[in-house]
Amino acid sequence: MGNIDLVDITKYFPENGVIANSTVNLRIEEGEIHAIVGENGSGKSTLMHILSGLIRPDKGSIRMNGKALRINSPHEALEQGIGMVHQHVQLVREFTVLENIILGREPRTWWGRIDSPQARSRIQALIQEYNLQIDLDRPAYELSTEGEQKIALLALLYAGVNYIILDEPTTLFEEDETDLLHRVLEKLRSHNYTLILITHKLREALHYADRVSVMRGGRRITTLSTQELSQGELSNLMVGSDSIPGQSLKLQKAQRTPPKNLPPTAPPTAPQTATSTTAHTTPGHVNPSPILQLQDLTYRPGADNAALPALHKVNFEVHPGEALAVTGIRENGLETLEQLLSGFLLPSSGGILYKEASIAGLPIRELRSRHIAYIPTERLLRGASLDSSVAENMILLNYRDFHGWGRLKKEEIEHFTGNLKQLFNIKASPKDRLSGLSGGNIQRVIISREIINSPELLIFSEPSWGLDIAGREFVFDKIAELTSRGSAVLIITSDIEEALECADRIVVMYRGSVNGIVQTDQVDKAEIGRLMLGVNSYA
Amino acid sequence: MHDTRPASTFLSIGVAIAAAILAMIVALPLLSNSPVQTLYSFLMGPFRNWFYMGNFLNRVGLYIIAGLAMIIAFQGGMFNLGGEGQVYAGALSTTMFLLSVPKLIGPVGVIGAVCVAAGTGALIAGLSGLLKMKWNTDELISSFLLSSSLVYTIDYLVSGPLRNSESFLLSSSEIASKFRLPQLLPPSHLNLSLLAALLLIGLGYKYLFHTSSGYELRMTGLNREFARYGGIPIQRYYFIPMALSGGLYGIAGCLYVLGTSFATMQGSTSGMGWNGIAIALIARIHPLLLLPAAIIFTYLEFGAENAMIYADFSFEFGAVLQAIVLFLVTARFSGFRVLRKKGI
Repeated sequence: MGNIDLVDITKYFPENGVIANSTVNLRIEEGEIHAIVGENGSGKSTLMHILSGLIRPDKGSIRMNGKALRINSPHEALEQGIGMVHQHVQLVREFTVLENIILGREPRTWWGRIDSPQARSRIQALIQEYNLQIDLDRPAYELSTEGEQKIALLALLYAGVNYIILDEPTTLFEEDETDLLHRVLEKLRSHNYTLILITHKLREALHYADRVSVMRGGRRITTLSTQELSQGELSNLMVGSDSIPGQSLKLQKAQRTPPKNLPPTAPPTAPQTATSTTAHTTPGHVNPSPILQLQDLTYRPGADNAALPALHKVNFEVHPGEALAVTGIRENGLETLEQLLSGFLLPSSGGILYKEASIAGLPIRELRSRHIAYIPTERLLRGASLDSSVAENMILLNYRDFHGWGRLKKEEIEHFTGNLKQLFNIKASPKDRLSGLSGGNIQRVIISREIINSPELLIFSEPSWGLDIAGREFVFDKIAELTSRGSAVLIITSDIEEALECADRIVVMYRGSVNGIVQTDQVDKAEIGRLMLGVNSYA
Repeated sequence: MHDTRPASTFLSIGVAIAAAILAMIVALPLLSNSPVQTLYSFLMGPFRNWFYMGNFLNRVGLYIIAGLAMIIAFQGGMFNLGGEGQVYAGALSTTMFLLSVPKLIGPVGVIGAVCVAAGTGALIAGLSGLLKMKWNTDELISSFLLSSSLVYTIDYLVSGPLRNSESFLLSSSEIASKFRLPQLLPPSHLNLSLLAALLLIGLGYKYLFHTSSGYELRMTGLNREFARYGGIPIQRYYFIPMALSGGLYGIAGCLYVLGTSFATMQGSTSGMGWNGIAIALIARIHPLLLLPAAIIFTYLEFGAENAMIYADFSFEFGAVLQAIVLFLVTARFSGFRVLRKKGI
């Protein structure tokens, strides 16, 4: 027991070239509730994974009361009394709740049998104490996410930790149960547990925590007492509105001629609700018909994909020659939108119109033949076949052009793949296995395949995912090139800067609804940050 | 299209076989009273005389087809466990077809028989594919169960209603001699089916790597999500690889009757289905490695049989030996992964 100090923690991920933590120093005081907030990719989770032994830092140390701790695995962290409830809990699906809780720490009878009655009574006591109702005899595979997190929390309490890290704990409870979360946290505090909350929900941080640390770009920006802070201030700290988006970006935007015939957009100062936005963007007779039109698009997740966030009546349009970004924080509906628009998922209600014809429910092959290109978030799982050659990945959309009587014409394929290699500066032979390429080159292969056919609409999710600066520029250039040729690009991104840099308009999602549609040149980062965090809906 | 398999495949197969033979040499003194003689008869296997050699090559040919059947299923991401029944059904349908059309001229009958057997096998295996497509039934289970029941049914037919009462064997009547494939090395069983097998390797390779359907099949097998994303009709590829696989197994059974047994005998094709899986795995699911894979597998099988006849080698030991090879070849142990990463 005592204060924990994270000293000069640095962590670099060479596989995607990201410095997740850069000499981070942080003190966790005994008995406090400490919130760590930051955008996606700010390094907050990495830092806590280091504390909980899941990741080893490249540099730095962890000290308890000034004494260096040896934490090389989650097991060693537990021995020091430090445990973490992950956002996505790993359970043995076939085991019951009880078996999952005691896994690895089973009490034994004298002849080696698991003493379940003893375990059960101890856990029942914990359930009573913290009001964490759960059926101990249900198999884990029947549980929802919140049930899984309850198990993880009970397991830590059962293991006897003193420090509990909670990753996005409001997913632990249903919306109407947040009072319960508060009670659990207070109860834990009164029993002298030290709690660390990782969250991107500012309201939550301010509501529950004593102190809050803000992470941005792999660094700890500041730590403040929650009494000194308002949501607005915290939001500014989080997105770093004090720093203006880069100069190069301004230049790039100026060089690009914006499409002239855009529909009017909502003024940036007055974020719209979904319904009023519709009224605003419904094109008048002066506008060309939109290439993509969402009409009250709604999705309610069923039992088999309960993890996908719901969408409520989403309305927006994308016009030819326009780059439109949809942004928001993870789990606010971006991933659902991607699945719906790409044809992998059917909407519950509402319409998706492409060139004024409904495309909801069409097979993906049909969408492809109508010149809709799509670069998924899951680049390596969905967007590429790693065990195939570069050439095989390149011809996915075009192989039918190369066959005569069912036979693939080798020369034509070689010509095609050689062309792509040159045009997109791919540093690999078409014969190479894709998995042997660097991340950046794999991206180029995917992008080259999707845009070589001049699509009329490109759905581009997280464009600069895993790219270095040069790669980023390359991707943004390609987006600009497409729009200048009259194609529409729909960017789905959780990165505000990316949205600002490559889009003409930005749709901000919050909790499955459109929280505002803004014009990029009339808005600043802080404003979008606030829309993303749903600040206005709580004001 | 190009295949992306590195040369380390050959290396690892070689190492696996060397290791298996080494294991045998080490264990032989414990298991045999005359280890030297046993080893000699094992290694000599097919080289004892031309008769053995012919039979050896004949079996290699049949195994190639069975292996190819599995390779196509595997490449399409499907697991056809029904090879036993499909081969047997192919053999029976060939026999029945040729017995029912005695007036056909030889080559036409042969071509007809191949088509009938391929169709029968494709139908049986394709059914499992259709079940998977419609109700997501596990093709591994359904093909296995279907095949098992077929084996018993055919056993019954051959020993009962269809049995040739003049024969001492549990066998159907023999097909007319005009339908039999030309023998290449009498009195051994070697016949034209070996050449057919080599031809099928070429066709299989062409199909998988140089046609658009083969491309669709492989992409679906490697990454179903990716195939769907690219607009490949993935539903179809539950059926196609299974049907092709079953068809090839059927052809294996057919050629066995046409060139080797001339009748359907009870249990005569037994093992071909399972060995197809083993050979496909040794070949690393690649048609161009089928010939060496089938040779290796048959050599070990032949050697074991030989050593059983000429020395005190036990059947179990032979089986263990095959298991060692299979295990070593299919296990992708870390050493080779490192080599592969370095592109050696």
